[in-house]
Amino acid sequence: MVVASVCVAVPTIDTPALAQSLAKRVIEGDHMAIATEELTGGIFKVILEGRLDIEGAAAVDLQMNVIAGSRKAVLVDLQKVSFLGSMGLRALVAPARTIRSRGGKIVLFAPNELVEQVLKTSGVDALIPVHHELQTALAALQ
Amino acid sequence: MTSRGEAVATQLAAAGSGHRMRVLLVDDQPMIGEAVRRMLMSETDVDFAYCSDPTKAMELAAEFRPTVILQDLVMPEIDGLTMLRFYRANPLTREIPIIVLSTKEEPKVKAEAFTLGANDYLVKLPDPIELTARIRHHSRGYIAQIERNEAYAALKQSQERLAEELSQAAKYVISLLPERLSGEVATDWQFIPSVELGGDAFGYHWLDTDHLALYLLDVCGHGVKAALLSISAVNVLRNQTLVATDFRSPSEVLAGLNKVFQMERHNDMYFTMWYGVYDKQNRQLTYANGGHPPPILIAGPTEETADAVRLSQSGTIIGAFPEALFPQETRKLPRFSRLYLFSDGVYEVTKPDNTLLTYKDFMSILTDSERGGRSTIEHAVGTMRAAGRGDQFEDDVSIVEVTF
Repeated sequence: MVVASVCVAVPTIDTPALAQSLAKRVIEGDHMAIATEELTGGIFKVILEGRLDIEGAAAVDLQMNVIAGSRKAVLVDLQKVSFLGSMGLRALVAPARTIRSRGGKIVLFAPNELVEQVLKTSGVDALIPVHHELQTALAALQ
Repeated sequence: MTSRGEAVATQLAAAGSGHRMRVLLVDDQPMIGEAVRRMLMSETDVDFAYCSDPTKAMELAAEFRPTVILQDLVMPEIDGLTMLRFYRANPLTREIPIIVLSTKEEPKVKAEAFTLGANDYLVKLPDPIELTARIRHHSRGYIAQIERNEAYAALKQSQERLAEELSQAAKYVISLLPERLSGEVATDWQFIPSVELGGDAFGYHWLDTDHLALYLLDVCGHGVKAALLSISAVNVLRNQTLVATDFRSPSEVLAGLNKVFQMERHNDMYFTMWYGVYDKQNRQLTYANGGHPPPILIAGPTEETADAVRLSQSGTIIGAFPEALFPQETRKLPRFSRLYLFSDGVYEVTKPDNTLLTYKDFMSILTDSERGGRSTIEHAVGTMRAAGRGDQFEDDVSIVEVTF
């Protein structure tokens, strides 16, 4: 994958405020929003919001793959994802494969019923763990 | 003025126009012709043509293709207003901006000129800066219009080419679909490719005299690349080109496909698939599932007493995880057994209220006893289509009925 060399390069930061806002970035796609947060213990949280359909997947693909190439413990918060289509599933599976191939871990957190059904039918839940409790999700990433 | 002319010229050239500005002056007085020629001399990006004979103006316009026409209003043989009518009647000149030139301000004539389609009105002759500015303004507008039309035409052509490619790819997928069977095993099916062509494919073939393989797959995404992957996978199954694989064992087949079709080698695409083998001698069906919606089996001692059940043996999508396993299940088939394989396009239909239909909705339609004389497949597909927002399904629709 191309990704490894496209790691997000954080420039030297002058002000604390700027540093903080970089740690919590929100990038808007047409349908999808993606926000990220550093948690303790080196865990990186990705919060997805919106419909993970064809457009939604296209909007987050690049960031997800960059994260997959640069992080080893990722929690994907799916609480605000209202729909998961086949391309959306791909947008989760491709980064998951990358993280695992680099020896990292990834979990999916709190999908709604509709989204979880897609994860079950596709069998993806058998290979990317799905957790509904934050504590167990974080524990799985240790 | 020269340097200013150059500066403007550079600016406009930098604006990426592949079209030069061309000024056509139609005026019976050579003096005016010469004056305008001198004014435009330093404008290096402007071509100038002068026509003193209005009867030759249209012909010259067709050849010279001006981006703006300066048209004298008062001429001995044909007057400017009549010329305007000609320009606006001829498709070649209809859209070209026209600046009419008059010797004086005449509100009535001005109004009539604009009514007839003039775009500007000048009293001869304004100073060079004003004339040049107006010429540039009108030419720029016209050039932008031409470029937009060219861009639209190119876009339309590439869209048509894409539609043609998709249509060819769909034809190829369809050519791989099997004939309907009749006799001890009877089949029926419908395949409705979506406008953007999804990645659906299916098939069945006898592995030997006693075993019939059945399969249906769905590649994620759309377009030629999804179709290409689905065709590859179907060809592997038809030609049984997996090494050391017992094609009577669904577990082995799916595991083999999963290894061969790992995502990173196939444009990061995965597919879902159901694969089953009917054992004629023992009247049983063995099957495994790679992330695909469960098929529905309607079975019982007779058709009237048959029940619908999901074949819920599950597994993971193909190509995602190399270590995935695909457990298989075997089921004895009652005297009346009818199996439905289908892709999610048949039930993922958006209703007018923007909610989606579900697998459950589809299952109950499939088991409708009231079908108005239509076959089960026709009834199911027709009902799902009608429930949606438009006339078309949004994704590929595949449905196969197998009666054992």
